[in-house]
Amino acid sequence: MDNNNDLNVARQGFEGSLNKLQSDILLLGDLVIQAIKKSIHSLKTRNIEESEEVIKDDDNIDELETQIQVLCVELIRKEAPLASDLRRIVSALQIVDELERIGDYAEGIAKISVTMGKLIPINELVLIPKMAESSVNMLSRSLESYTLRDFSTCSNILEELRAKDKEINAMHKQVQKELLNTIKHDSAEGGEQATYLMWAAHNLERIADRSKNIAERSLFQVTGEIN
Amino acid sequence: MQKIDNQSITSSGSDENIIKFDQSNNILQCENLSVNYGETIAIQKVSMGIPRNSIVSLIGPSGCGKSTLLRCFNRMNDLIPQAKVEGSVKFFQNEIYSDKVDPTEIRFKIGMVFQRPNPFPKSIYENIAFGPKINGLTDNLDEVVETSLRRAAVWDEVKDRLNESALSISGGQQQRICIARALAVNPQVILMDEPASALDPISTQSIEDLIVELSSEVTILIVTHNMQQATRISDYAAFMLSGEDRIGRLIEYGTNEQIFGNPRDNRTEAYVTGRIG
Repeated sequence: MDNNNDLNVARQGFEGSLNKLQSDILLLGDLVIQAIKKSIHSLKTRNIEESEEVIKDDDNIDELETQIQVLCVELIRKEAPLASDLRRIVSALQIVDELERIGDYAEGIAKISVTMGKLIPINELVLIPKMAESSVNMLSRSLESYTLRDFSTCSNILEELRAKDKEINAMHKQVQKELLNTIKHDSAEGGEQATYLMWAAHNLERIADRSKNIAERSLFQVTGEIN
Repeated sequence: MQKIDNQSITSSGSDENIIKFDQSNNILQCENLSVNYGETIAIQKVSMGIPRNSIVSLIGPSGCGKSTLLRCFNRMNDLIPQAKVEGSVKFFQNEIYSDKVDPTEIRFKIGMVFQRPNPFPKSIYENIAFGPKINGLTDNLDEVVETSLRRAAVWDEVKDRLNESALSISGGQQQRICIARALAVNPQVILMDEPASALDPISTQSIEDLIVELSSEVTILIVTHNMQQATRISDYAAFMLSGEDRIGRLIEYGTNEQIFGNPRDNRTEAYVTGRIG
């Protein structure tokens, strides 16, 4: 080495691209969170226009996912990343996939809402919006973990999300039980509506699972260990 | 990006960042190995073991002492005036710097391949037969030449040109002839100092394939500046760095997965990710 004062010579272009990768993922995460919130709001308020917006906006999520994947492939091709750089790009590819699928679940809820059309609500939705709120919180926390890249924070968040995931699973079971009861005892129209709502709850349960996956990918970013 | 201060670059790696092997399985082992060229200390207190039949890469910025360390393992530094080696280097647990050891004999057992192919200005056949002849092995020379060229994966390309000058063939072929020449005396270790850095991608690939194939019977220690190459072929990698004092030190030595996937020392991380060097 000619000059040790230059030890911290950065690959500035690469560093900039890695930062852009992170901000793009956070932007995608934000779009997905908005999609979940809107899909549940539209389901609860029976606002078909809002549901249709969620369906339309899913194209933006898909497009951003593709852009991020292209950036990752380009960085691998151009920069031959190793160590922490490689882990960042690999985890980005995994996280972007999880986010896109979460976006699909939100779109799915919006489609359920559109399919339900003008069906009169069997009763006020309580547990499903609660599940949605918890899922959104889990997703936000997983993205926080992705950004922080610190072993103890990422481990703690993962533990926290594992516990929350169990809570959401329990809520999901409760929703299923109540809706099955409706299917058994209510009118045909009520049964039809309950079937749709069971799918919405299923989607929320999957959103929680995938948020937990994001926290796992975020921890991989730090440890390099694949579990 | 992590910050590395000047103090941290003048210290060796933490002992726990240097992988330890069962010494009975180490074909080579150095302890507190230092080399001076006159007043200049090139490397200081390097301790590491090389397990039998492994491929170990030595990586680090130019001037960090990789080639100096490599040359210690077959006493090539003896040929450099003013070079003084301190510490211990054991080959199968026998000290190679003992007065009783003949360096030439050591160099047959621990062969070397250099950055630029350096065949003798003789025929391909004579290049390979040279070592065995010096060792008094004149029986079955044809067989030794063929076997060595086959082991170096160059037989099919040169079998009809054995009497032509080794300088008439391509650089990639010349380098494989040099490897065959080293193999002809049945070495147990081959030291390689950037063996593919002067070669095109196809020749590089064939040298890399050859290294991996040979490792089932020969231990290989290779100096390379090519991180991807080190990642592709090595079982273990050792990272060296010289500080402001220009003394080369061993910073981290571990499995390929550790060094290129998740290094423990910030300096290794900075080097393999291209932040320093």
